[in-house]
Amino acid sequence: MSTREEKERLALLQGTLDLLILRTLVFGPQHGQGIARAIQQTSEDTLLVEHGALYPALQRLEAQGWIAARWGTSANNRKARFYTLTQTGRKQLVKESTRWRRLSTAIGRILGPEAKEG
Amino acid sequence: MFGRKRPVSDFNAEIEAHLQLEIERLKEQGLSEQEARAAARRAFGNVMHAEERFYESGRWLWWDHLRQDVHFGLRMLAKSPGFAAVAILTLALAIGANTAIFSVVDAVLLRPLPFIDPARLVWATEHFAFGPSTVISADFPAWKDRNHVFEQIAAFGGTSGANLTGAGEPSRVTVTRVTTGLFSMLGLQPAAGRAFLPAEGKQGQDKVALLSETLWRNRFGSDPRTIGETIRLDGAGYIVVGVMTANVRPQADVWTPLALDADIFSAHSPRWMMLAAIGRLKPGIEISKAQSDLQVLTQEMNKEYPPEAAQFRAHETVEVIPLHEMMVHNVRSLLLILLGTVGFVLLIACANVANLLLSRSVVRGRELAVRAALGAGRLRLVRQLLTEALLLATIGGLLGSITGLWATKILRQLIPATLPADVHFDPRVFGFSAAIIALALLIFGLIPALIASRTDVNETLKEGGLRLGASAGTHRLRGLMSVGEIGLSLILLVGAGLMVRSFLRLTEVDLGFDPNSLLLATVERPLTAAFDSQQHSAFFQSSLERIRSLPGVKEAALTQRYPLGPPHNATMILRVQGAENFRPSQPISVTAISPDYFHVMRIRLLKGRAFGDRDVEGAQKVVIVNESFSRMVFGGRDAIGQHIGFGEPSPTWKEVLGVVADAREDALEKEPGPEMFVPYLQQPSFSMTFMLRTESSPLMLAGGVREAVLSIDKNQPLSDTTTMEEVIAKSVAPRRFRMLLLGLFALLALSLAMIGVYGVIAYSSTQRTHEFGVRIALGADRQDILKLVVRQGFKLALLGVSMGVAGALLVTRFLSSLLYEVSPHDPLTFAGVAALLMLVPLAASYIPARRAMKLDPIVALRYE
Repeated sequence: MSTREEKERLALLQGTLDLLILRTLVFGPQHGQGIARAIQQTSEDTLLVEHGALYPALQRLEAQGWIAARWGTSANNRKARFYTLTQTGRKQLVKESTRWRRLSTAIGRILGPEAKEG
Repeated sequence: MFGRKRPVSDFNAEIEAHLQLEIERLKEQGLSEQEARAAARRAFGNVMHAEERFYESGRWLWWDHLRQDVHFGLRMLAKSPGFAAVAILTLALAIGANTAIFSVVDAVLLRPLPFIDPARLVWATEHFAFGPSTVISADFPAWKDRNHVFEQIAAFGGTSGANLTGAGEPSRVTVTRVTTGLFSMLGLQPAAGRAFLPAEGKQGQDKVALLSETLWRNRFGSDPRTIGETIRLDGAGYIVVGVMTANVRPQADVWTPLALDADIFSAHSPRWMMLAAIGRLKPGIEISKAQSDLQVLTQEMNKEYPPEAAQFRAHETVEVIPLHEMMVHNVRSLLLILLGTVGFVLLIACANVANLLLSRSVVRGRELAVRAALGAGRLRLVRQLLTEALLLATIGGLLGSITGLWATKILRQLIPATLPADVHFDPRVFGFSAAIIALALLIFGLIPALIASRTDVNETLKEGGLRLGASAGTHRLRGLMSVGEIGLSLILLVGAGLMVRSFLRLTEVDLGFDPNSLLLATVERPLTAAFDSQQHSAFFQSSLERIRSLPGVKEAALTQRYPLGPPHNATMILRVQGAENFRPSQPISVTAISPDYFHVMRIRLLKGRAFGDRDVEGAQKVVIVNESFSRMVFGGRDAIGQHIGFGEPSPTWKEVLGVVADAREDALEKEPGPEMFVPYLQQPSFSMTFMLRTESSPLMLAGGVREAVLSIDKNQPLSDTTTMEEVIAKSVAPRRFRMLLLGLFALLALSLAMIGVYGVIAYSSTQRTHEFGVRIALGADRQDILKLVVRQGFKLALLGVSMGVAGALLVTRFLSSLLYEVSPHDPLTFAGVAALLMLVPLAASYIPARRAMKLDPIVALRYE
């Protein structure tokens, strides 16, 4: 991983990490490392998730009751703390995604048609 | 669900798991163990940071900081034990004193009476132009049957003594006669047996008795079989029907019912009984309404009395007050004065602790600046200082509660005996004082913290921190507080001084008799028909002769009552031969004595002669009067040989034999009133006191007297044996107690003020060390330095004393009811206390002044 590569990655906007975590958990229980991996892979490595920042966010979501956690065993037989989406978490995800879509559409309109690359 | 409750270790384990998973994934991609670890860590970011953020999000930090603060605070206190000790002691004493006094106030004034629905209970009494206020028994049936305001009204007679005989040695018990409904009206239940039945309030059925729990236990061993037994009071049999609990008022050993159809309840009876009445108002009836209702009833009653009664019934008025008020009115003002006093002490203590904390904030300026420089937040610093202040408050409060607990026991004697209340250590009260102190600590603990957090760290560190917080404002505040302390303690000291002066005045009072080596033994004969008055006289005469011959007895005499003893017989009915229109302006006491009473008491005979052996039953009736009587009745004329009569509308004439000097009879405080003495053989009494002038310690003869009396009548107990000195001490005991209490608080205030002033002066002279050094270097005399330091103390003192004197002039009038022959503005006391308090700052500046005088200018100039 070169430095250049890292600089091109987008830093996450405040509040978006929560949304990404919730979205990732739709596919089933996952542990912290898995969530970090999934975000990075799904965004095709565009998004920079500092793994350390993930945990306070998980902490926060858990406190709000949107996700629940339980210790379990990972695919390669390691102990890990697995997070699942709760009922309220699911509702929250719908709400947040709608909001986010509206926001990005609005911003897209303001910025106008995409400039041609190159 | 509550992330905050998640332990730190769990969180750390999760991060560790994450790192492991990441490392394994990277290894699968072909990285070496080491590379994978490094990459995983990099991707994670700052592990410590994540952990820290978890930590701070929880409760842990808060708890941790508190623990640190407490720990650090304790270390700071331990480092300056002098400061800690003074602050804690100050708080402990003030909290203790406040707690104790407030507990008594709470028990006596604030808590409702322990009776059923006490708010509707009232005390009703009649006032006459003379004599004690009471309800005349003949008025009570009208009150009971014809009133429109009471749900119920009950009465009881004054407590008297009776000889209880039967099982074991005869003993003297107190007996109170009550109307049958009294206890049920108050809601008092018997501990065993039953209370009186309404039917027992009739003659013939009234020979029943209730025992007190104490008597039942001590005399009958709490035996339930006592109920139904017959006890003998003055020889008459009473069937015990029940036992009453200890909180019963009126207090007595035995209660017997008043029969409302007895003679004493008739207006035409030759004698009436003095009663006290308690009523329960109907709901919604005002006290004033009850008072006017009873007043009307009593005026209607006037018509039913014989004409002779008109004289004493003229100007009769009825008063109705809440029962609680009646029970506490004797102590109310004293308690409020004490409450004010400890309030002052509390204020002084607060000022003192604040002063101490302010001085410390200055010393600690540098420390705080360093901590700020190392990254301590402002809030953190403030919290540190507050924690220290609260530590002081907590330790002080704990010690204070112990002091309070102990002091409350002593103060229990402030509670009037009539009130069925007991003080117990009250946590509410303790909380109240503790809260005040904590508040003061917060305010004054906060000021240094704020000053410290406001200051520029750089500046402070450069200056060496000494000048931090030493703003003119802070210093003025401290000066003002010391002035206030001096002022407040002056007020307390003046109060205590006035009490001391009153007490000294009282001990210098000319008693009119000699109280030394005097034994008093009272014997009360049973009041029954079986003993006629001649038999009483015979019994007392032979007892007196036997007692006279006891070894160690110099002289002995008999008297119906002794000075400063229980209340005596008094009469308003006096006829003077040749002055038929004479009416006495105040009641005249009548005392039956044996002939040598004046000689034994060393009461001077001013004119005429004392009684002799010839003045017996059947001879010319004779009387001796005191000086006050002679002045009131005969004015400038010679009393000897005059004839007077008293006690009955058409009295037998008695010849005045002599005039004796006045003696203090009722109380040391009370000027002697008019008195008449008669020979007990001409006017026998059932109750007499033997007065023995002894060769050595009087009490050693008590046993001999008891035996002498028993040898004449084996059923006759002694009611009371005491010495005249004890009687006097007892009569001044409440005053003495009040004086000591106020004096103690005043001294406490004084020492606190002294500490406060010392703190201010010592601090400011430390501040001026540099200045003193310059002065000395420039040739100032050591005396000049001394003057500089002392002048400052003097200024504080002058201000404090003048404020205190002004304050004292305003408040000492509240003390006037407690003073004796001393004006509340007594110049001597004021001057003395003011002078004393002028000395306090001088004494307080002694140590700082000495230190300043010994300054080495070189050291002082280097000093920062």
